[in-house]
Amino acid sequence: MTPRGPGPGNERAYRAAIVSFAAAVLGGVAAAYGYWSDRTESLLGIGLAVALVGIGAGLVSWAKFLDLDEHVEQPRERLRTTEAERDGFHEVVVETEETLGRRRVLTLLLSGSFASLVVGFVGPLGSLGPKPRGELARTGWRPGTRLVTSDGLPVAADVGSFDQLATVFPEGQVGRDDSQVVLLRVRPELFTERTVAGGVADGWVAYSKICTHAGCSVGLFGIDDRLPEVVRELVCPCHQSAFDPVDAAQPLGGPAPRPLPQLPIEIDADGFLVASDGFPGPVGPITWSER
Amino acid sequence: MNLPSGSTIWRVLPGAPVIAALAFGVVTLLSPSTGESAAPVIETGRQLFATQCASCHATGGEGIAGRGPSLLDEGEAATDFVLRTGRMPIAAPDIQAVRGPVRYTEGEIVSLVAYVGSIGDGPDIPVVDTGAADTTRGGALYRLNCAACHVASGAGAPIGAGRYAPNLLAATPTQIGEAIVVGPGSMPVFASFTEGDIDDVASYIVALADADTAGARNFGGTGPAAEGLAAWLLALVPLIALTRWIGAPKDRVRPATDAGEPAHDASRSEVDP
Amino acid sequence: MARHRRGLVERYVDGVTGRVGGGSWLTKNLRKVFPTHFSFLWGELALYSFVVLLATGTYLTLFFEGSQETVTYTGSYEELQGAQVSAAFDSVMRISHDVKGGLLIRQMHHWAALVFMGAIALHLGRVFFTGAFRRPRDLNWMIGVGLLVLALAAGFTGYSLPDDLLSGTGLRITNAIILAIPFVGERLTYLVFGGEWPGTDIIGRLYPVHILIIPAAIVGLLAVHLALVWHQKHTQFPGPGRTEHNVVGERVWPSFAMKSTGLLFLVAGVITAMGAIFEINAIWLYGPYDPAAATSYSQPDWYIGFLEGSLRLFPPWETRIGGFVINNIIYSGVVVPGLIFGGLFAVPAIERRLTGDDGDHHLLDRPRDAERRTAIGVAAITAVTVLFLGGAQDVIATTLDVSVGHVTSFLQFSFLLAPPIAWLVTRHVCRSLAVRPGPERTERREPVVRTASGGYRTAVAADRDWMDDGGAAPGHFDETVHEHDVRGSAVRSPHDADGQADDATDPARTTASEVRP
Repeated sequence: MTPRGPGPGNERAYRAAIVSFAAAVLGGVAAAYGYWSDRTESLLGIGLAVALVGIGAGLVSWAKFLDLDEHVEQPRERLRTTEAERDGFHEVVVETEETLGRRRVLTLLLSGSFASLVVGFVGPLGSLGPKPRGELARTGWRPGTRLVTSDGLPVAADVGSFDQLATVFPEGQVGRDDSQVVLLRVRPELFTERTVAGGVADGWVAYSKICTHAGCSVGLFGIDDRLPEVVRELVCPCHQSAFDPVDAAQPLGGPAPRPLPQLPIEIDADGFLVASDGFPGPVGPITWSER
Repeated sequence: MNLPSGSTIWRVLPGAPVIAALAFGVVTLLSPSTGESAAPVIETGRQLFATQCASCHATGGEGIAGRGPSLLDEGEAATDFVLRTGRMPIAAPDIQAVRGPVRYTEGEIVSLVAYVGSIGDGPDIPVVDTGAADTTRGGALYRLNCAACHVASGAGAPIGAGRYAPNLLAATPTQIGEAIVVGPGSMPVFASFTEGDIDDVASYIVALADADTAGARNFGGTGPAAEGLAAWLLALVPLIALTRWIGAPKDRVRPATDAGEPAHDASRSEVDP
Repeated sequence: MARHRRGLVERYVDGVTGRVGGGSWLTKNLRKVFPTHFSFLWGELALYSFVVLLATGTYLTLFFEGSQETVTYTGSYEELQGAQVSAAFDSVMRISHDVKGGLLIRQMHHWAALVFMGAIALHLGRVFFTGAFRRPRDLNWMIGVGLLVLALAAGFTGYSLPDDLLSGTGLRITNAIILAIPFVGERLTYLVFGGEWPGTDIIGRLYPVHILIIPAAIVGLLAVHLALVWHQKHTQFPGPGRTEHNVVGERVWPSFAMKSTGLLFLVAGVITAMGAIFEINAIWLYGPYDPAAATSYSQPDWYIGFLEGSLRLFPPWETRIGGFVINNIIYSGVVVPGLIFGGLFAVPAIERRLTGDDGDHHLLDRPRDAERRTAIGVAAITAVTVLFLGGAQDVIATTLDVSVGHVTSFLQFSFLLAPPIAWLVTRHVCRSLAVRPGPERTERREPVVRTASGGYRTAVAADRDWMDDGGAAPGHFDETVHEHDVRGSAVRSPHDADGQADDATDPARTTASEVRP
């Protein structure tokens, strides 16, 4: 297996190997200097990359320079089972049946004991999580609960223009996942009947912020009625489900099969927005048993 | 007026023309090109409006159906925003206004803003001061309220119905504040934001811009989809090329060898002496 | 070969082999022959990215904290100072901003994961389109599909660990998918997440899964995968002198080993360069997970993109059965991936059923020569590609400046229409390319041969006959026996002897012996 004579291609490979290994050495030094001088992202990273690529390219070039034979032939070994091998294994099976297999009681008991072991370990697995007790159906919203922003401030009904958006929570439970609500204010004359029936107040309407498709936060609200083509959509950024904010959040497109549950709201004596009731149905993604 | 719900000071503001006039005075004083008092500025703005804006918004700013909306309740903030970001004038009414080169001089903008502010009741230009802002809190507010449309990096994204939220990184703190109180285009109004909230969010967006979060190093800040494409184009394609180099069949590179074999005969069994 | 004085390495090797045996085994394997083709190196791309993943991942475990306990961030990233974050998020922030070189390693780890999955996809495609999955490698194909699933699980759990907004969003969707599973969904989510979403357990549970269970399973299956490749010997493309009964290529030592080791460093180098130059998964922008927050471009890493696309493109169907509901995420999140991986797993069985061919194949098909398989494969890739595009439909909409709804509708139709079109086009291309028979065709069409039992068969049938009964067989079988015979004689390389025997006993082969002085 002597290398072939130094042809023109070989010479090039030899030179490439020299350059590569030399670059690798420099790259390593640069990386060390980069770490020492706190230039970790640039000099350390690039230096390491140069060192690694240099070693790799050098090795390949070296192999190409050696120009070892690529056309060595080797026979394949037989993989299929021979009849003799089959017979040999069959003997073991027969022997097993004759010895172990005859003790049926023992075999049965052993299988049973293994099964009981499995059953015994199901219990501890159950400790991984509590049994569902209908928590999914309950949110923090009760009749009279104030709507508050992420800062905990209540929302005054008479403040601000139309086309508003805010993320609100039940008072005292800011950040509670299942109770997040997207609060909008649009021109009241736009609301459809069922939206009004769902509980709106002075243009304010509140929907669960959890998408009925896969549970992401429905945070995109595009609204523009100043233009000839009126745009009015509540969109989930995860899978692009769109809901109609003035028509009880009915799905307009995308994969969500159901509207966002509407939180009935009213204005309390102090002029702040409150829930007039809890959600009419479950919030969040649809589950198997409608709860 | 669209104003924060929690702050009582802001709740009395809409009915307080004195304070509004003061705020306006601050704005005009800050503008370098104007030394005039309020009324002549409004008059200049009215004349400018008649030539520049009236073809779509009508001479009195009440709007023309099918061409341009009414500006009666747009206020100074909205006008300042669309003029200083080059969104107006716009070529056609049914396209989304986008950031572009500013078309008016400082003086013209001040006049137009003053005029539109004088014809109706709309939000004033918010005074945004990022100096003492809490950037961390601004980040939390940003992710809760803004990132859904404008992306965590500020790069902007589509928002359905063919509209998209623009890249925020070119916006000034004042423009950010204006957008929050005005809700330009398809953007909703964030009236629940207090003055402090606006300062904090603006300072966070400025920090994003400083860090160039939508630059070439992170593929425009578009997240995992762009990163996946980069992994294929910038890493896997070069690696495939490298395997091509490593596994290049030699019999194509090197013709016949020493033993006088024909070049096409690639297979040789090797026998050592 | 002149005998040199034994050096240090030799004496150490001898010291080991003299105790465990297998001295000739070592030499034999160093002399093993591997066929050369650049596409055969794509599996190695995956292997070496995995090496990078293990190395960088180990480093990261030294800093990562798998806990959702709330802490106050006090690191050097100013825009989050004072924020209430989970310990997991805090530790990844520390790696990214306060551990010197930590960001580089973390970015390398993430880029390596993306490259790893891409290399697996390339390798899978190569094996499929060349028919390398056929018996006897059908077993190894199924192990490979198992590795693919494990790799996806590794990627997903890793994506979830930093507990940033994207992590949490992905887990939230996972939670919703589990929740929708008929009968057991609700109970199962409580078991997985330790209660109602989001809970405080999931990161701590995913951590050992990501760094111990899945990697251990991958390493185990990978060992079997590679051992089978080694034992069964690699497939080869048809060509002069290449038959079903031999392997033509380069030796493991030193030629193949040098190139392969070189590739290891090249893979590591490219990944390091990516980590050094490009930012990936800037968790400080996504921020700690907040259930009420959301960001546009909420995408998974690219390899989960097909699932994301399935979720985005599937129509809003909801099936009611009595008081029960099947949410459409059951179809898009469970059935679709189930079909994809079930289909991949069954590829050898399907091909066997379609062709009725259960023979051993060591020579690869050129894709054009197996038009039915190639067409089916291209159609399947097209369907999955549409799903991938669906997963990034918002990015596409921005890039092309069209509405998301239009992109979605277009992709929904494409999912139904594009695969059949791809199938037809591919079949046509295969046919026009395959008009001219390649050299391998003439070679495989051996004439009628005489079987051991005295009858006459065509060569293909004779091969099968020989493989089935394992008895006396024509030609090639002798070589194998021969090799077994000479294995013990240590002085000469067994393959040299085989080479000679080979040429002497196989009249059908068109090889030329190269004899050097």
